[in-house]
Amino acid sequence: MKLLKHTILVLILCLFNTQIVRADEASAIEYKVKAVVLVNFAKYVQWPESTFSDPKQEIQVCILGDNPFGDVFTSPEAPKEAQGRPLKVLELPKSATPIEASRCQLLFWTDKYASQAKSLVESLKDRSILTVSDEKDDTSLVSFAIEDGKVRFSIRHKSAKQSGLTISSQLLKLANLIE
Amino acid sequence: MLCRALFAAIFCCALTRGNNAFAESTPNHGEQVNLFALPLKEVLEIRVDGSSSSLTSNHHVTVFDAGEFSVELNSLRFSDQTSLSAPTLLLIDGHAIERLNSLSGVKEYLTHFGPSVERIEVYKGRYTRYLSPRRVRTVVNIVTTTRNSEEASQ
Repeated sequence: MKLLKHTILVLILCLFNTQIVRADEASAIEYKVKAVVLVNFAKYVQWPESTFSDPKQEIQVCILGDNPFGDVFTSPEAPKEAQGRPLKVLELPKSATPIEASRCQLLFWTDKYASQAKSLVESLKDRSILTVSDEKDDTSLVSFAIEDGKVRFSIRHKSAKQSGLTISSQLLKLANLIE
Repeated sequence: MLCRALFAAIFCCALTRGNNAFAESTPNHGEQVNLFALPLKEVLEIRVDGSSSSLTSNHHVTVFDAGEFSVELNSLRFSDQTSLSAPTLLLIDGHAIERLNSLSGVKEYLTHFGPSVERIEVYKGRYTRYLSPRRVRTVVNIVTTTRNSEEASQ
């Protein structure tokens, strides 16, 4: 009887563990896909010439707060350049100042840091920064969503243009356009 | 008594984890599958909710059995996995994508392509036209309807 109890207990624990593994797995794939999409933003968005001081200046992809992408960007297969410029991924602390964030060409945040992002974006509204939120967010120019189990993204095209950003039609046709 | 309980516990864990073979093998997938090399349109077709049901329903899939190796796509169960321990070349619509050392990468591609998988072709040994690099023993070609229709329209 004792053996049976032990076995049932362990079986329950194992099932629970399996569910956790599946959830982690789904989340890992989700952020892997989002990482690929972010890199494509760096490829298909044109920043104004004035953004860069020289032709070889890097494109900085900044992640505000905790990095949900794990080591995806540092993996060997992750592209190291976009539009002929080195591609650099930078983790910004959640308390990042507008000066720190002003170095970014692309700023990503998860829902957890939406309020910090909002105040940063307010301070940087005259800068050409492609702001990307993990979930639907009125602050960002681009927001991710999960629809039917797949990653989708929305673009505020008009606002992006007003920020001086030119988004390739190749990217726009894959996006849900707002405005 | 304690030993028997321990044995039962290990056995149960092995069973549950075996059923979750896809999730289990996934940490290796990132190393094997280069999503950055895929067109964005295809990346956006990847299911991120951990479900793979799209493979098993509403889509006709032809499975080619190549000798000792066979793929049962509808149940997402692959038989004779040991035969894939030899390096395998994965093709998508005839284009070389990855060189794999196990079946897990193939499985991930199938899950990702989901509904667009039309058929799978498996070549072993004598199909030498694909055998490059030299050490590749098995070639798995996933034929997708998406890519084919794009090619046809070009």
